[in-house]
Amino acid sequence: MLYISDSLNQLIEEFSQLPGIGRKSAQRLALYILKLPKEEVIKIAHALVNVKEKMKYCSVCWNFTETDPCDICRSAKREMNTICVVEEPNDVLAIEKTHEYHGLYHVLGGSLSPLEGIGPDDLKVKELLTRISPEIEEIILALNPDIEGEATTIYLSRLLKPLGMKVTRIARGIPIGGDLEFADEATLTKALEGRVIV
Amino acid sequence: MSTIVKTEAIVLRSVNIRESSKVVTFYTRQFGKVAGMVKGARQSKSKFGSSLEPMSYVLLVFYKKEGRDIQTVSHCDLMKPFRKLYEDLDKMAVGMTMIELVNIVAHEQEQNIELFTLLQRTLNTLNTATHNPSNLLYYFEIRLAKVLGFEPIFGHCVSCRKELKEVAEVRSYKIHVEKGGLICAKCSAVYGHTALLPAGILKIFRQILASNEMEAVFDFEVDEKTRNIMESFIWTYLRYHISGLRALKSDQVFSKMFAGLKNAEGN
Repeated sequence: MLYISDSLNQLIEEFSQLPGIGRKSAQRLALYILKLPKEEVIKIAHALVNVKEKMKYCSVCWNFTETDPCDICRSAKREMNTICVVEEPNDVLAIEKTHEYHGLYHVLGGSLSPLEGIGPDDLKVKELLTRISPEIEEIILALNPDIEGEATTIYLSRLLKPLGMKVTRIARGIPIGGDLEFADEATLTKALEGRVIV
Repeated sequence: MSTIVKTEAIVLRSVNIRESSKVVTFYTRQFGKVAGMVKGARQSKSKFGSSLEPMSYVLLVFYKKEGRDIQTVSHCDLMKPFRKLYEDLDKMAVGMTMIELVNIVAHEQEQNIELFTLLQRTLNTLNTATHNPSNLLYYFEIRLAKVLGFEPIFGHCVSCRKELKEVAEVRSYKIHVEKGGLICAKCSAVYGHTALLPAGILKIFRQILASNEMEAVFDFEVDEKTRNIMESFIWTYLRYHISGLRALKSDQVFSKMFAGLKNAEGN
């Protein structure tokens, strides 16, 4: 009979709850932790507890933050007339890495997913509408180019357009470093539609 | 031992797993419902592109292994892009209702070419629809009942088989859902009836069952009240005959979305 101590087994169980971690990976991680010096393990444990205790949602943009409102919402350097709507906090990080966008954000917390039963009430849609004021000139919809992202983009654009501001969406097409030969018809069509003068 | 197979398919559902993979449920022409693991599908340079989005009509290549719940997908190429289904919320709502229904009624690896053809043709027609796209859902649902072997009987009494023709002065007809269609006055006195179908709706249903011209349904102009009666009848009928048919999630979500838009757009 295979013997694994209760404490090790519990750690493996906990790790395997994490997204993308199967039983084998969880076992590998648990054994790695076991081999670490005790101080390193305490540092990791503290970091986990710390992030859970300190981080919360920004009550304006619904991104993760330590201070409410978050640094971006409070910053005087940001353009207050533009809001970029994204699905998850990860998307804020991805856009910030470009250093090309200087406006505000709004994190929906997902996208409309009819087949999974996720509707407008499950996302921060009402919260987005309450942020709309005459000062807001543009809403950029930066959602994933999948069917859920499309449904959300169409829905939000129809909700927002009657309120009078410019509603735009990010471009879709061939990724840099990609190959035209392998692009499917739908992606190529979108790339052709979004062509620009050079 | 696995064999590599190629078949036409419609994507019914796509679920993200791990870092960049997906488990996709296909309704295939050759093998019925098949779930497939697509590794690396969510990477921006993935060769699968938009072919794994629900409602896509694709040519699927996968390693088929008996007894395995999730097959391994090798290739998936768009056969014909149904672009309008992703650009028009009304069309998207109809299309997603159809694929959710098929996902519920279809069985794993049980071929039904008629069902595949119905789904593929209906999505194709929906893509090109210029008006009244939601009418196509009635066509699909009535035809679905037929393909699954419980076609509603609208030509004669389900009990005594007496032919029941349309009579100008008759405004509604009695239906016996359990028995599967129209019931004449004499038989309904014995067996009762479960619904009343207005004559105008019966006419539409008869045309749907009689004609293969799917596009004809776009010409039916039905008001909201009639639409509600049609939906209610079809749904009652399907729920009685398909065990385990639950309320559709897509239907509930789109109802909320359309209610919100009606409010915002002031229609």
